[in-house]
Amino acid sequence: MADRGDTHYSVSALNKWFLFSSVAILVATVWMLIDDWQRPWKAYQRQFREIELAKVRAEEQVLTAAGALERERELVAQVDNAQRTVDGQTSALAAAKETLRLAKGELWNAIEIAKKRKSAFNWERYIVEEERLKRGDPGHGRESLEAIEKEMNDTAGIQQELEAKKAAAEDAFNSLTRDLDAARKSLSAGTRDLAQVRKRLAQLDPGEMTGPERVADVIRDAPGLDFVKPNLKVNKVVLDNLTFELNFTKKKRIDMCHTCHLGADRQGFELDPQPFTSHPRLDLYLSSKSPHPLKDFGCTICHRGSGEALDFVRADHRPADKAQADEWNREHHWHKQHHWDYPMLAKDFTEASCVQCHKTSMELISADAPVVSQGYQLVERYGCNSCHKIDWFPTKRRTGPSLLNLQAKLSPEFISSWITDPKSFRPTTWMPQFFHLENYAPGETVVKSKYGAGRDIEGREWDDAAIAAIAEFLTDRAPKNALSAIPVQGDAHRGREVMRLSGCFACHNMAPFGESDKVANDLALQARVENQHGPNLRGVATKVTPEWLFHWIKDPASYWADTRMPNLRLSDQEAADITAYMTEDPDGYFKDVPKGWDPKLIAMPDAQMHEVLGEQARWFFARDGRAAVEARLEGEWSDLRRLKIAVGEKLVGNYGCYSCHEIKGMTEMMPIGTELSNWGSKTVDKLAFNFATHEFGLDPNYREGWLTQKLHAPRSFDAKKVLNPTEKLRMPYFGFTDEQVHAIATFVVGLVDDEVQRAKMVPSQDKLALDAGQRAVRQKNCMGCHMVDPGTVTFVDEGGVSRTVAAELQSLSEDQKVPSAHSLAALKADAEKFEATEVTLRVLRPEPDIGKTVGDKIFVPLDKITALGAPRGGDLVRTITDYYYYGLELCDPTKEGDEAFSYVSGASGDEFGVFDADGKLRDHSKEPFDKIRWTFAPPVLWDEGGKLQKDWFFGFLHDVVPLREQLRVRMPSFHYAAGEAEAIADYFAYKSAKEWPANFARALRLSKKWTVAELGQAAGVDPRALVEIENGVQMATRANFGKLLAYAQASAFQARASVNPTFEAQATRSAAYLQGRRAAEPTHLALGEAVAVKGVNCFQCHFRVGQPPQADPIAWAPDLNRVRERLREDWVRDWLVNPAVVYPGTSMPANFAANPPAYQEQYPNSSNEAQVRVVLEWLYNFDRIYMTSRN
Amino acid sequence: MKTLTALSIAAGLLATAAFTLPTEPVRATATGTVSLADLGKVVFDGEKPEVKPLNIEPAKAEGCGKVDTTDQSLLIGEKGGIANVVVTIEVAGATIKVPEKPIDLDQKTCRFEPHVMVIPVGSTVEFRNSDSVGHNVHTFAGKNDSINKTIQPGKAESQKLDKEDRIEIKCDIHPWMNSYLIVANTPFFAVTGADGSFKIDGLPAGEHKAKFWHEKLGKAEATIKVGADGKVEPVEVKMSAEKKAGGGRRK
Repeated sequence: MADRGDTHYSVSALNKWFLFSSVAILVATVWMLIDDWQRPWKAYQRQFREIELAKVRAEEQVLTAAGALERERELVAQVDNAQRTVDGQTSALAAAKETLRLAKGELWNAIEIAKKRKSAFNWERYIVEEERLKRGDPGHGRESLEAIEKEMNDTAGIQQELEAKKAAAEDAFNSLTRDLDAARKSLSAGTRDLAQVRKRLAQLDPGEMTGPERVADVIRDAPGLDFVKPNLKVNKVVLDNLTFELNFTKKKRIDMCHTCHLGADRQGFELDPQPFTSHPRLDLYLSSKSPHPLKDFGCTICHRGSGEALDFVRADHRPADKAQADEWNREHHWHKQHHWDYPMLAKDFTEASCVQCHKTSMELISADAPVVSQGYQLVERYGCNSCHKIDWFPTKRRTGPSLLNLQAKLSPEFISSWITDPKSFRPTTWMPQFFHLENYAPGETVVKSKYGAGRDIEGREWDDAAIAAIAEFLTDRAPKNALSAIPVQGDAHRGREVMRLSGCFACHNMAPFGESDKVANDLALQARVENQHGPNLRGVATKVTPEWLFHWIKDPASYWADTRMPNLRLSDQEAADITAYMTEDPDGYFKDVPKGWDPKLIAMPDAQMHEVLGEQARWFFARDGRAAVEARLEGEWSDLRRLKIAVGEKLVGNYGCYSCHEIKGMTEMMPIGTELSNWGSKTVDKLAFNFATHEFGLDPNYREGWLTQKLHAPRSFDAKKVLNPTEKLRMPYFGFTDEQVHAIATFVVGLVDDEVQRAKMVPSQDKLALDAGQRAVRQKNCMGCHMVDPGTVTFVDEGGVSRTVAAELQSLSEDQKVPSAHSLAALKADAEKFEATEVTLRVLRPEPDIGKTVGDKIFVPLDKITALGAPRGGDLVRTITDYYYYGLELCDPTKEGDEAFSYVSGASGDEFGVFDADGKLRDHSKEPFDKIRWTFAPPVLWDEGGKLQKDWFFGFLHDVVPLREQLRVRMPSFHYAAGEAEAIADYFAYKSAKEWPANFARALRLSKKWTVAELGQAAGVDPRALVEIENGVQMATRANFGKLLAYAQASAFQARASVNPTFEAQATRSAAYLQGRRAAEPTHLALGEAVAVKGVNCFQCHFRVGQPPQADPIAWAPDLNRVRERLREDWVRDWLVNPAVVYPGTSMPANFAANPPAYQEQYPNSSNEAQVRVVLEWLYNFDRIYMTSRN
Repeated sequence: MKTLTALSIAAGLLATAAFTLPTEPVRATATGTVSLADLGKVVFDGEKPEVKPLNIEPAKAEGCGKVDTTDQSLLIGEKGGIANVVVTIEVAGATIKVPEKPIDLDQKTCRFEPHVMVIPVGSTVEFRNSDSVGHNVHTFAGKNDSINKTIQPGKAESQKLDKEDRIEIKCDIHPWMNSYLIVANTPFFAVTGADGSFKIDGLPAGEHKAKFWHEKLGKAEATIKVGADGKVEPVEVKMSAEKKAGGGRRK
């Protein structure tokens, strides 16, 4: 259009501008579309599609190679055949159909008529009854009513006939098509895999698509059109409950990680490269069946990083090391996102995230999160939380011994040298080193004295003086309270046996300091797991006084109220014997100290000491003012001892010694360390890196490195800084290994603000009980003595299938007295020694997969055994059996070969043997292993909750009574914190209850020799649910276990050695029960007594209300008067029926297994079951019976 | 040789522990096997150790009758012959004939009778209680199932033993009672008699390795040669005491 001149602008120019800008906008729009269309994640998705397609094709090939196509053809042919048969019977089919139709019609009619007649009858009855009431004549209208009723009943009869007719017609019709239906079913079942592959191929493979589908497949992802239903799309999960803090607001997490990490939640991509790799633990994470499904948890709650980023760099990925960082930089221009506060966790620190939700289940996750659990336990052991508050930490005890009566235990020389360097006396101690560390380096100036006017005071003299001051202060605060003398003369040789058999080595070891090729074959000389619970006892006789040792062994809590060491209720004589053994040390363990250990006082001239401590006083008393300090230095502190005490107190306060040790007057002081409750949420810029970035190459963007450096060398962050003594770092050096540092750091990184309040795990009652109980069991070190769970053996069976069964090793040869230790290395070494190629295993839990149950033996070629899973606990069993068989093996390192080894036993004379509980020396070395193990070693606790009544167990823990009088080993009397004993009793009860349904389901199936499918059909339970019950899946158990139980009861199945699921109260004592029983069998209690006492003769081995049996201690068994309060009745029943399936190897015989049944003289015409029942009643009414029979 | 044969008949009749009793007089057969022949003797090497009788308190043996307190774990005869030594000879290709009837292992006056017994693999043993007091049979088997059952007076329990094994049998009620049951994977076995001699029936001609085991004295081996004519040169096997009880794990 030409410019008409009536506007203030030039139209043609405008047109040009319009054209130009239109083109520009168009170009920009297209550019935008293309740019958006080309985002990197789409490339990943395309690539993933290729990978997936290749996998499906490969799968198809595998199926094809396995003959799936042929099978399909066969099945199709079968269907066709059946179809032809049906087709051939068209007329019959039509006739049957017609018959069915008619039958249905007739039935419908009959039903309608019946309904009508029934309502007519009801109407009539109403009328008649009303009339009867009015007239007062109960007989009125009876005939008419009866007539109508008869009519109604006739109709019902007709209806039944017609129903049968219809059912017959249905059967007739179905029988014609039955083959076809079956053929169709087997076709779809037999080709399920194939159908799935084909379905996926149709989605993925353009080659498999029709033309229009292919076009659609392309158009879907075309730029500008890909908003409709694209193949390539952003995947996201919105996590309402898992918020995080962003600019002071709580914001929902939206994780889009699996836009690129496409294989993460799926199986089968384990070997593909990132970002497609499958998560390594799909059983635990991401998969829909795992406890942490993707849709509920996303990714960043554990890994951190930026979940909403769709770009490699913006997601704040974390390189493993510098090399990877450089590589990423080259490939992706990767750099740390400086404004994102939640960088991804380093890969080996991911377990840290477990802590935020699992604070109340730290024990339960230990198997799946071993690193962070180890960190948690190390924090507890080393008492990190004593100085560094962790608000939720469940254990609050002081980890160091009380110093209230220090002088009764230690010499001043020992105190000085110990404070200087604890590890130089005991390399495994958890007491850290405070002095002579790098920020007080010898030769380096700490301060210039007298406010800069005096001389340079260097690190070594500064710390030496500090040690002397602390030692003086501590002894001053713990005035010497002489302990009473040891009341009886101890005997070292007897003490050796008392110490070994009482159970000291369940918690303590005596591992030598250095490596030694000559060590006696003695578990107590190896630092194992449970026997490191208490300190290594080597050298301890050089440390403490005999009086202290005696009193400590007698009653540890009298010296240190909070100690973990329990009271073993030893007599004065026993304690004196142990004291004599340790102080006289005939075997060379307790006076052995590391090379270079030489306890002595700090050697420094008094004048120098006064000068250095005076300078420390100037710093630590600075708040009092210079003049006051100088005046005191001239006055009261001119006495060096008083100066030491004054400065010592300041130093103890400065280093926080009171956090771990009880010190008089300091018990209420605040801990000195940084609080760690939410250390992991502190932003990195708040950490004092100082010069560490230059000195140690730490990356200032991440916290893990800082923490690792801090734990390795706590004072190193002072490097190159000018600091006065009140500013220098104080954290001591623990000498952690790399593994320990990593574990502790992982735990501390996991201490974050509770961002997940609403999603935080709320454990069920049983989980809480299991967690608290497991912690108590660990802290009391129950596993030092008791085997809590049996070990496992993994082997490849004849069919090439790997099996893991709960089992114990049997001797490899008739010449091997004690079976090999439960480790593959020990087993192989022994197999070589005894030239054995086959291993005999005794099964310890029902194992339906191999058709075996408790006590059965299986034989496995040695080379088929792939792994041995250690039992939980029970090292002391071996320590004790070894002693009964061999005595104590000693090693004299100055001699060579076999000459170096000798054996001593309790008697230590020529006569070999062990003092039995009745005080007699007996040689048990020729007894079979099972006999010693089950008679003299601590009992196993495999199913303790199923065995004991919880209330009794709780009481027993608090007030221990000897149950097995033949045992020399003692159940300790522990000091329990509030709730601890309860937690232990609960723990075992829940543990047994939890395992019970799984064991029951297996045992039931095993008893029938059935497959899952067969049992499922018989019991009316989905076979898949049965598998889940057997695997202990709670949901399936809750939903289906009732049915299984009902079936088991209906089929008269009795589970052996397991717990009644209802945990119901004992009924055999109730008055109503007894009355009922008396009515049925008047003499049932007398019969019970006759069978038990005259028939079985229980008191040949069992104690009778404190009265020992006639037999030797090796045959002794627990007092029967405790059964009623102690044992669960269902357990006792199983025990009486077949003791060997409860404890394989026990000395208790099967008393009620004779065929024909025994004890007919005592109980005429009785079956084994009836005998068990009366004996059970006798046991549970033992108090009544025993009283009457005694009278 | 005739005297030897005569002697072996006499000894064979005396031997109570050997399971297979002779049915025919001893004679070399045409096929080169040897009928029940005196194969030799096991003797004690060294000074005869003192074996104390068992110390059984009468109260603990109530109902047992008159208990023989001889310690059967080491019985040495006058000329040093050791009783209760188990002899087994493995011969390739030999077939085991499983006895049809169960073999008795009795408990009499609170002792197991016999103290040592060998049975072939696949046999059934019947644990009997001929006492008037209850016993339990607690077997500590290597490969066979271990059982632990109470056996009332006059009753018995049987068990089939299918695996080669050495089974120690105890009665938990009477701790001194024990017995060894050897399940041998060979038809050629014996237990030495009171004079230490042993006899085995039907050994084929050739050289055989005989294995010896005694509960206290351990193991020994010897080679037994059976000539083509069925003649056997009797062997003398020496066994000596182990180290003192207990200790010696490294050995």
